[in-house]
Amino acid sequence: MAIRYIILLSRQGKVRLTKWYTAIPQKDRLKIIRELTAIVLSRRAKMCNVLEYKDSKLIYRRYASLFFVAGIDNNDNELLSLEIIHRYVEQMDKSYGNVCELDIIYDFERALSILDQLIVNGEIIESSKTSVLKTMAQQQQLETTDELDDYFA
Amino acid sequence: MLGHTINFGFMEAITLLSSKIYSEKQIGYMAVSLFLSGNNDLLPLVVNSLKNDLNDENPDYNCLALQCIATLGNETWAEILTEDVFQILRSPTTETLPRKKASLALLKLLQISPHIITEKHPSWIPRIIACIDDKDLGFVTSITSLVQFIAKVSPESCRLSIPTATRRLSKLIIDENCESDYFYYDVPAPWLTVKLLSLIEYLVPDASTADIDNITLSNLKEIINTVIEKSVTKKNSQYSNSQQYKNAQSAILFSVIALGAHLDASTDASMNAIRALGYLLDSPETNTRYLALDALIKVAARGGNPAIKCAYDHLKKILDSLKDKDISIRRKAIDLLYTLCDSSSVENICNELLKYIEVADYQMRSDVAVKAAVLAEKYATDATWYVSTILKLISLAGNHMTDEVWERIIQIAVNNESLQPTTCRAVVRHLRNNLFPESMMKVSSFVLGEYGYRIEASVSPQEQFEILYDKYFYCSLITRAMLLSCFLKFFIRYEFLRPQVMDLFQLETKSLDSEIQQRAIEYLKLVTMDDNLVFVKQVVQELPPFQNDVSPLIARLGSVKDVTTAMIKPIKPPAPPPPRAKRASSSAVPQLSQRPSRASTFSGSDNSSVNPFDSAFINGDQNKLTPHWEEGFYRALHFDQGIFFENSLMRIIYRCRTDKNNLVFQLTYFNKSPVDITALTVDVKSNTSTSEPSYILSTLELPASDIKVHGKSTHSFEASLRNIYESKEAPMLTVSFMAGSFVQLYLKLPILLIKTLSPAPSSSPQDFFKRWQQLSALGADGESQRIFSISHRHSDESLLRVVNRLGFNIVENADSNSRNIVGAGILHTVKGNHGCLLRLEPDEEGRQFRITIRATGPGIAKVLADTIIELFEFGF
Repeated sequence: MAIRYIILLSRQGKVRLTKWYTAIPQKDRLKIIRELTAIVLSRRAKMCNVLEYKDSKLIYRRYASLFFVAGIDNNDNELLSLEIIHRYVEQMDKSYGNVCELDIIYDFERALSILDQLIVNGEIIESSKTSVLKTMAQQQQLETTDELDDYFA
Repeated sequence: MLGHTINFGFMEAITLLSSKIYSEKQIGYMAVSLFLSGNNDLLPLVVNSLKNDLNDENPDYNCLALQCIATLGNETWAEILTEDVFQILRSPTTETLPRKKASLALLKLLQISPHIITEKHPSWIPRIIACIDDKDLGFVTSITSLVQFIAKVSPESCRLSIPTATRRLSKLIIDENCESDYFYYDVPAPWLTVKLLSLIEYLVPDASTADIDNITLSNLKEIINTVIEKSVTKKNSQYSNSQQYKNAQSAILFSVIALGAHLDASTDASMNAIRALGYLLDSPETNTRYLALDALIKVAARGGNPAIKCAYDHLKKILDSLKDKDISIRRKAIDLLYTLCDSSSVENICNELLKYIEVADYQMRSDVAVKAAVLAEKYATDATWYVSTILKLISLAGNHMTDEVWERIIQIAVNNESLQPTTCRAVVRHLRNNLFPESMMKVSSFVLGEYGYRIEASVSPQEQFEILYDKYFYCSLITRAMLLSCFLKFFIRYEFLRPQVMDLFQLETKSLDSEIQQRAIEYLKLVTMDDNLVFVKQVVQELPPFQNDVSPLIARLGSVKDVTTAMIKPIKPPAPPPPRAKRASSSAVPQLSQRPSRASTFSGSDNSSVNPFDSAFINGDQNKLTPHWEEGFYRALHFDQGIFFENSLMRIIYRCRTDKNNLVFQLTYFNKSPVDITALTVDVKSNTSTSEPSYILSTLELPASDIKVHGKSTHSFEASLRNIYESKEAPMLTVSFMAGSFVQLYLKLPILLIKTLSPAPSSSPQDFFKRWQQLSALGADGESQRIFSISHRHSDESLLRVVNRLGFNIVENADSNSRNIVGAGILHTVKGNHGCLLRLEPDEEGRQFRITIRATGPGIAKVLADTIIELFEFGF
């Protein structure tokens, strides 16, 4: 029971962010991205957010111009995986302040580390509303101190 | 990165790992996790930095390293780093964030090399399980994933987590006791809930719930009911209309239903689940409807007949789903209909499927057609109905189905003489309506050629011939070849058709297709060979019936034919789909066959969890008993209350009541440690066989998970003894708790046959000897005589008292030697009571004894003697 990968796609089919939780060779990764881009982009609104794909399931949800797609194991709970995506978007929204596609393109580092605070090894690590943001804030704090140190040194 | 491949800068990233500046280190780790994957050659270079950072005092460095391990973990890392990761996880002084990450990093490493925990460090498992009781819900969430995995590789060692997980669940669901941070749109910790539920589902082997104690079981049932109740009654909250709230709520509901169906396949339970699911079928959410259908399939497949009946009540809703806008939902609905079908509903469901085929998408038709054909064949009780349904199916979807379907109907027509006219008439009817897909033509060419003469009265041979001949040139080559054979049969039977047939054969001798040409020439030669057509009649002799072993289904239809007059419709257990059908469609069949295979993996896991009852395992258990277990064990054999176990942290007092064959044990756990005991879990595990248990245990009361300093908590259970058994079958008690550090106690419970011994009514020495003599009739089975010695000398009085406490009534002045002890008792089991007589003869010094026991049942004397000798040798 785990998330295998998370891929963020723009409406034009451009990949914005990928995170793989299982070891898949690069060639297959590209193949998966190609295939699921085709599948997901062709879905109409109001259709069911769960798809069967090979030996796994795809969960996707669209936020504005971005599709968030997650590949999960067959026995995983679909709706809750969908809600993990939602939680991720919420956290990004709070961290960036009204997040948009460009934020993720230009500051993907932050998007990735928010994801790291939420999901590790394909399992949700923390479901609390505040805890993720708190950790994020601490990290940023550390980085700023580093920069100051550099500056004074 | 961002969809592009990167192949430079790796070395620079690795150099950054050893930096002392946080942001540099962080960038280094991020780059490594992004660029490298799987078995990259550069990964070994990272190990040293990882090891340093894991052992660093700075928790932020730990986190970075753990995160990296969780992303990239591989075999070499598992060998080198697992222990460091576990150190972070176990240490209670570490901050929670590194512990959370450590639990998932450990999960990654174990997924790669499970042998580390199963072989090298099985002692980690109880420590990890105890963490489920931790205060921090975030930590519990991440550790549960780890436990789930361990449960897969070593289910037996995780059984202890069932009560713990249940306790957590009931706090979350029933008391809604959860920190405000962890409420997700007013749902308390949905992720944790679902994880715990699926953990329990995995650990409970199957519907036989003998393995979990009944308090936990009733708690679980309460949880299940509460969730189902909640889903039906709307809760008033500010979020009750948000999609997130509904999703989280239904996610839990689906898990609960899966668990419920697993735990208790009783009719009531599945009814409840199906009712709740039926409610969800009306949901406006596409996702919910989809998953509800999916869950219904699972419940119906597991719940058997009553569940299918109950789900059948929702037929209308399911049929409505066939009209849904979303194709995934329509597919699921078809799958569900397929699952719900049985011999009583087959006609209805097949009719619906036939209706549906006309409007279905082209991409779904073949799937639907195959399912309808399989269902009709599997459950048909009326052969005529079967034929007409399949022919209708062929006429509707003939172009979308595989050859097996029409081949099958021909087989059935050949084997059932009474069906032949019906089939012919039905075929003609379909051809007249100009509904003739290729498959229909193939069926017709065969059936009319072979049996057309049987409907001569209603449809003239001329018409039969023309109806086929008209379509000849519309057909594909292979069908034409079949038609040629058919016309040859007409040629032989009806003289007036000969010219026409000859003409056609003539014409086709010039066909471009070699197969057709060859046939035409051969047939032409055959019919002109001699005037009496002797030879050709041999060639087209009527087909003999197919052998019954071709498919058991033919036999079924064949025998049903006789029964149908009486209109008896036996409900047959659903047979596995015929192997032929498996090949029928590559798209449909993996889906169909998935369910049985899934079920078989479940039963596979059952086997592995039953395995530990092997004697090898029991012996293993004996070896790991906690030191000093014996004192309490032997004390409890003859005293009804006392100290069962004691160490510096805990004292366990027992109290035991015997009522014939029932033993009630009450254990009180006292906290002697200077800190509160937390995460107390007890598990009583029987070592008797599961199929024919010697005794049955049931829990009456479970202790609280937390015991304050100087506090106590009670645990009680009941044992009902059914059979004669040896002391090695005695149950095991496992107590685990956290008191500063993690402690686990393994104790053997004195639930032995001898505990049911009660004094026989006092009798005179004469009576005693009379019975003693009578019992000798049983021979070696009924008597056991042994000699043993003990290290301490006991006074005669204390010996008398022990024998008395064991449950023997002392018969005084019975023996010529006044020091010998003679007693009588009655042993109680469910299967019956047995009288037991004892004679204990000490030697001069009181060090050596001869014990003789005679009993009215085979084997009893030996078991009792063994136990008594064990007790004497240990001392009292």
